[in-house]
Amino acid sequence: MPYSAEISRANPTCFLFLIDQSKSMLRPLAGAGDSSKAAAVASSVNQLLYALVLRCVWGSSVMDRFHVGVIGYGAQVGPALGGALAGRELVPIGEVARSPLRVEQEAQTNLDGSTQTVRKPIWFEPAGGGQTPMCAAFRLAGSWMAGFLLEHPDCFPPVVINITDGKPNDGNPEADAIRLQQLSSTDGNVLVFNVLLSSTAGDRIEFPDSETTLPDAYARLLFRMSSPLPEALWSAAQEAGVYASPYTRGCVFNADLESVVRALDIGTRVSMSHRG
Amino acid sequence: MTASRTARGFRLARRGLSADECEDAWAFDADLSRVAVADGATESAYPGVWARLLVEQFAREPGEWPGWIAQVQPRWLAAVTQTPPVPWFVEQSLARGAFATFLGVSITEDSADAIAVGDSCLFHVRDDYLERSFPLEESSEFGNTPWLVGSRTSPDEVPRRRGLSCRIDLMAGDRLWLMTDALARWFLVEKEAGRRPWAVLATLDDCPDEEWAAWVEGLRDAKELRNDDTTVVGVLVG
Repeated sequence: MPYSAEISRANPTCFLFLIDQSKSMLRPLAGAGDSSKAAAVASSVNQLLYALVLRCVWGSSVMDRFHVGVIGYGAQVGPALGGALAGRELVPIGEVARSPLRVEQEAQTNLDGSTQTVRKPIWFEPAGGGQTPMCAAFRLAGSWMAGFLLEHPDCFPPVVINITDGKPNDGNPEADAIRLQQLSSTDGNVLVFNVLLSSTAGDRIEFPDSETTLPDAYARLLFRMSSPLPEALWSAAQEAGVYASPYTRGCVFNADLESVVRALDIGTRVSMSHRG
Repeated sequence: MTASRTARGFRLARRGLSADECEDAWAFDADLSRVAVADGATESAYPGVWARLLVEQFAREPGEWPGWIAQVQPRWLAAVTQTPPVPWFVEQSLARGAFATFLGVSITEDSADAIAVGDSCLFHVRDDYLERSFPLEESSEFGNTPWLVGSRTSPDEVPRRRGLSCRIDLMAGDRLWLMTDALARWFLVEKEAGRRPWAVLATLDDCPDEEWAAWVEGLRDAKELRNDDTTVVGVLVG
């Protein structure tokens, strides 16, 4: 059965985030108050990396069950983690844990009303400038994933989540995205998710199961660029309130902040069913 | 007069981990006739320590459910607290605490009282027949998010609200099998296929640990058993 490989230090999987850093990302995101799309997405990615690290803590060490990477695409296309990890491609989660760009202090209110200060690491900064070279980002992702799969041929298939607010300016990314989906380990194909952000609160469409219900040609293109949700992820999707069928694809349209967080959660919850 | 009870337990870490990395625990107290298993959740802080403290407390010091859990929590904290400076991820992990499933059985003259949180299971076998399966009854009931007992959350939350209990009538010669989820799932799948997994376990009862380990590894090789920490305790009611 595909998508059942155990995720462990000996057989890690990877999560790769493709983040649109074009100029339009500096506009507000629906559901995120005054935050720009870039700031809200960066905050979601940092929060997710934080959660992924905590899932790998074992005693006082961090087990390298995941490798993670961020590709930013805008004025440039390339690795986008900051600080000591700047310029690095896929990084084992233990190293991510030990190398944040900075650690912020955040006041947290406990259930009993008392407050405490919690350390919040930041790895990824918001950025916006230039156009939307999405095809180049997918090609770079393909090259990173091919390298990872050569080293980990039996891994739980890597998950690639693309978050964008617009259309590519460097061509049609469909072929590059499909090529990425066709890369595989012995446990299944690489999973590609696409999230299209919206500046205005509107009719968000999460994890659709048919192209025909989508509003326009670009949404239909992103649908085809997204992987069918494998059965192994259905329970995670259902826990997040998303009904999944064999036709469901990993894509979200007109996404507000809440649906970005949900898509990241479903895409990376995959490991919850695999201890080790 | 209290009937005699003997117990035999076996524990094996998931493949690829050493014995001291196993996050399952079991304990049996012959004098009190109390037995327990717990399965520490990997994605929590020092789950093996928590699982061990839970089963030992239950087996050796009877107390009212779920209040006694509060007595164990400070012991977990004392065992895992580290000297500063502590990295942010260790601090956060310890703040969330450890989690474990729990199954405890207290045996009296002619009955057994069981309490369970999560998917560790008790099977009661009499005369080659499975009398009772608790708390899960079918292999399809196993999920990825069992209820868990937390080391930093109030016993009045999950343990009180989600803990399940049952009473079983016992006769001399009955067997009770307690097991963590991987083997419990195998047990129910076998039973649903019309086979007699309790008979297989009974033949292994007196075997040395190496033979148990070889049997478990064989099931893992055959993909009949998930590669997960595996624990089984058999109690013979004399």
